[in-house]
Amino acid sequence: MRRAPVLLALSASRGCILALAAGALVAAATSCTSFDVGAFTEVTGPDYGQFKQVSTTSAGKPVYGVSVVLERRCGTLDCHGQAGRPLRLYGQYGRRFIDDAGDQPGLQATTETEHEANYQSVIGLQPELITEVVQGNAQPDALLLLRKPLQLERHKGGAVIIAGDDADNCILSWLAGKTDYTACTSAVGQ
Amino acid sequence: MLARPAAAALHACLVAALVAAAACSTDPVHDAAVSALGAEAPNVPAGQYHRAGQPCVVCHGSEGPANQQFSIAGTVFFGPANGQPPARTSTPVGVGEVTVQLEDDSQSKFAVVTNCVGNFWVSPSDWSPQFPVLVTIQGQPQGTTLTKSMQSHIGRDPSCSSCHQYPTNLNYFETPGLVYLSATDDAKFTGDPSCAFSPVPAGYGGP
Repeated sequence: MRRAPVLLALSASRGCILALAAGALVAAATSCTSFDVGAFTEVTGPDYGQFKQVSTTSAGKPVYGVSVVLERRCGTLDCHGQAGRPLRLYGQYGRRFIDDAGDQPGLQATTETEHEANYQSVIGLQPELITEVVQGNAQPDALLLLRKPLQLERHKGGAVIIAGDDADNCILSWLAGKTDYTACTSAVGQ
Repeated sequence: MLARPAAAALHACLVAALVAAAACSTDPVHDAAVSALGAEAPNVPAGQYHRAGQPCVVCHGSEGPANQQFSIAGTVFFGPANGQPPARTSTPVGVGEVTVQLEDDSQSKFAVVTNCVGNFWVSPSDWSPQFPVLVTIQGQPQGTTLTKSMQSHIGRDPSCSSCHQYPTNLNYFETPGLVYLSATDDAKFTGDPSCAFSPVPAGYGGP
């Protein structure tokens, strides 16, 4: 399991920091206990190695993990490949991470940095809840990561995943700790 | 009780306020997006040849200000205009008679052909796609048939150039470049000579 402090996942969002600061002020004003600025929530995310998986079989066929599925299904430049999206995704066919690599959409393969950024986006969306899911204390369909694309909640991009399809099975199996790479790879090709 | 002239004046003011409110957009984000497109090029009147390469549905959407709405619209250029060898040109040239084949999530298909500056548009009455949409373009700008399919799908933005922008050092990481048919530029291709307007957009050597 990969562990990431929740504050790290949220550090890029000035709005979130302001919201946290405002929440701390309210808590301080309404509570007898003071706010512990040194406290942080430890997040237990699903496996990063399975998330970023990109390899080929001995026959030369690609094997993909969750990151590529999200890139292809959700990360186009007009959806979660936009800077303003809460679940910002990077990848070969969407937005590129700005670094010395200088990669461009549609050209170079997704980099390790981009897989890491995608993982941070996914975990940072609902860090406490995904921890509960990984620990078996909450159902996966409680996560916005699934509720939105399954359109169990309003989603401007519509139903980009159908319950029981390969993308759904890919993400569910990853959350359960044993990624179904066959489903993930098939979902990328659809 | 107001005197009759005062009541009439008040009524006139209310009507004027309502007219003014109705004329104004209430969406500052949309207003800013429209303003960012700038004024019309001086030699290209508003119409099917104008604003090639710009995000059409910013104005031709439900919020206006254009009268006609589009469900999808864009511009197809000849080459990437990215300054790569051998041509080393950076001038985008619109290409006509290109068939834009679209297929939506319900597998409904629609095809539209570009005009001589490369612009194409789809009216909602003709086709209202259910996103995501897949796209392939096909044309014969120099005699040989060229076909190009978009590598990913269109998620939901009906304006091609919201994503497909002229590449610069400021946007290289968030745009795949223009919509183009030929993998390489060719300085010999200058567009349709019979076109009433330059196939090179304003600001790139056009009017």
